[in-house]
Amino acid sequence: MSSFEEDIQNMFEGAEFQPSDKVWAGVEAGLAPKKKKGIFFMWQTYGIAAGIAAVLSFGLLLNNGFFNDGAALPIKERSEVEKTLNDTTTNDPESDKIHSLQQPNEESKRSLAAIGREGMAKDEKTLSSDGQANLQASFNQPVEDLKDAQLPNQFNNVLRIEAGSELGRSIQLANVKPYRSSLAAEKLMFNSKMDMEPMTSLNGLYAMSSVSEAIDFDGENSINGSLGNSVLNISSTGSSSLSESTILDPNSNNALNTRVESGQDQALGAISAGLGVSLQLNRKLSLNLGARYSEFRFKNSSNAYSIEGGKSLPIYAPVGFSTDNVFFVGDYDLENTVQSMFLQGTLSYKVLDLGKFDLSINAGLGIDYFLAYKVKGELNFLETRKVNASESDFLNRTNMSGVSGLGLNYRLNNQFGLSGDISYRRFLTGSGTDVNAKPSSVLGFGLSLNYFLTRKEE
Amino acid sequence: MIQDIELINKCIKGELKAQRELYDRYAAKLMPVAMRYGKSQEDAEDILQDAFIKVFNSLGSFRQEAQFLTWLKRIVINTSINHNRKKLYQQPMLDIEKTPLHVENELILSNLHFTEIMAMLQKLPVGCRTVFNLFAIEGYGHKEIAEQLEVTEGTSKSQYARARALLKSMIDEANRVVQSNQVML
Repeated sequence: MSSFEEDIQNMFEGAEFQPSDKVWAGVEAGLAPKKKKGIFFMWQTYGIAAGIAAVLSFGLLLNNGFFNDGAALPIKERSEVEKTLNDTTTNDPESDKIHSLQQPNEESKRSLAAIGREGMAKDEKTLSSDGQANLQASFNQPVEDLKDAQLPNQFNNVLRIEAGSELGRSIQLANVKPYRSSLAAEKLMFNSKMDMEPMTSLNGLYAMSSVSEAIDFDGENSINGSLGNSVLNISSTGSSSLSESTILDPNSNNALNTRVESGQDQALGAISAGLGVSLQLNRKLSLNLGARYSEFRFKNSSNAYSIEGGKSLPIYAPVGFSTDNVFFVGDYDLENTVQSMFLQGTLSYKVLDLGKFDLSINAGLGIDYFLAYKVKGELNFLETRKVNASESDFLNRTNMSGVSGLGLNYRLNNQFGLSGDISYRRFLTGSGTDVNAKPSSVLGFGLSLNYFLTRKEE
Repeated sequence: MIQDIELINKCIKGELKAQRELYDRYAAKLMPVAMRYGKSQEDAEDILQDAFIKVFNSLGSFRQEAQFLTWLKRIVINTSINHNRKKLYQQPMLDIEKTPLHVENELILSNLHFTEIMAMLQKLPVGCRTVFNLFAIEGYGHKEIAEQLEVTEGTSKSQYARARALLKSMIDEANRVVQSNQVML
């Protein structure tokens, strides 16, 4: 080895040169946990399968009346439930208070008179004073006991059946059986109760029993069509370095050393359209299933293009490009368009009910499948680059996302309703490998028209 | 100050703070190595970044009888060669028959700073630069270089000779500028 080699070795011995901060940032990003495609794929597959199974189970249970068990019971069982309920409300001191608040008035008397006429006073005879009985008790007790029973004051002179009359004899001769065995009696009793205790009061009483709510509830199912605007916020590295021998100066064809760089992404709004179905599980909770097509657009800039397969294509660094023939030009604008089919399942909870208006919050999971991804450069000679979303550093072809949102619903009539909603969904998969990168997300606004398949009577 | 070995063990456990400390301790020492092989500072930074990622991913295989800095330099050199390999395929090194294998006049380096020599190295074609670094600075023989770069030994020798001739012209020019500046002063 000559002195030249020794000199040059000595010259570099102990030499130091501080690299820029970008190096550590890149190292840190490179050390971030890598996406494990295999495990992810399995999780994704099983996740989708579990989601479908859950939806089918829900549908099956809903169809079988699992969530409306009280209402779905046959008449006989419902009678038992109501009887239990009556016992509960009768023994409950709170319900006694409510009863005591209901002062008898002329209207209730008229109602009871009507009940009497409808149910048993066809022969228009009156009950004798020794046959006075509590109307309620008369249906639950043997006829013999009725003689000793006392009709409340407010029923005096309202319903009277002569003991010796035809009706009275019929009652005495009739086999003793609980009123529940008679459908007509049940209907009579129900109507009477509804007259005496308006629905609002009943609601107050029944709120104490979960069984009663199930009996009252009749779920509203609807289909809906929606239009909206969605903004995709991506998180990409935005730049890429190339080796100098692959970069050619378009004028001299000499190798250059430079970087292909893309600027800051600028989200542009894009239209989306969807269809969905909403299944009301109970008074507050609904299951919503839907599919939505979206076109997300965002702007960027580039300083180079490449020739691939005989085509001049724009370069957006985060989606990759062939490094064989890269040409540098002045900065130009890029427009990225990503088409997506989104399937989602959410549960919405009604937090505010103002009659025709109600406000609900919702949360759930969704899957985006990116149908196409196109990059268009503003230079005339450039063709549109078609990209597989999985080649980008911020998306996979299929992305799971968490969804949350707020919906304001307005009921036009018993058939149609309008909903306005704002939603935010954050991709659980498909984020960039840069440790500092935030996962991509979508902010959406939408307006939908709802058509009620099953309706509450107004 | 925490010892290298302790720092290495923490890095193996994946402690980011320790990794940053190790990086801070050695990045400036390794950067000149990467700069000798790269075409520019940015190129060198890419090499250094890749090298550090490899370092942190393979710290478990570091045998402590070797000097840590030497081990690190070896990784930077290998990363640099891989970085340049694609370019070497595209611009294959050829035997340069007419290039003299020895430069008769000695090259005077005393007037120059290492950054100036580095800038000259970066102007060399990629094949010459790689061979020059491996032979003159890392101390490899032409046979080893030929195996590593998958060229013939003759190619390695001729590339080295060419690198040295090109460097000589650049160094002579730099020395002339330095001397003329001294005369003016």
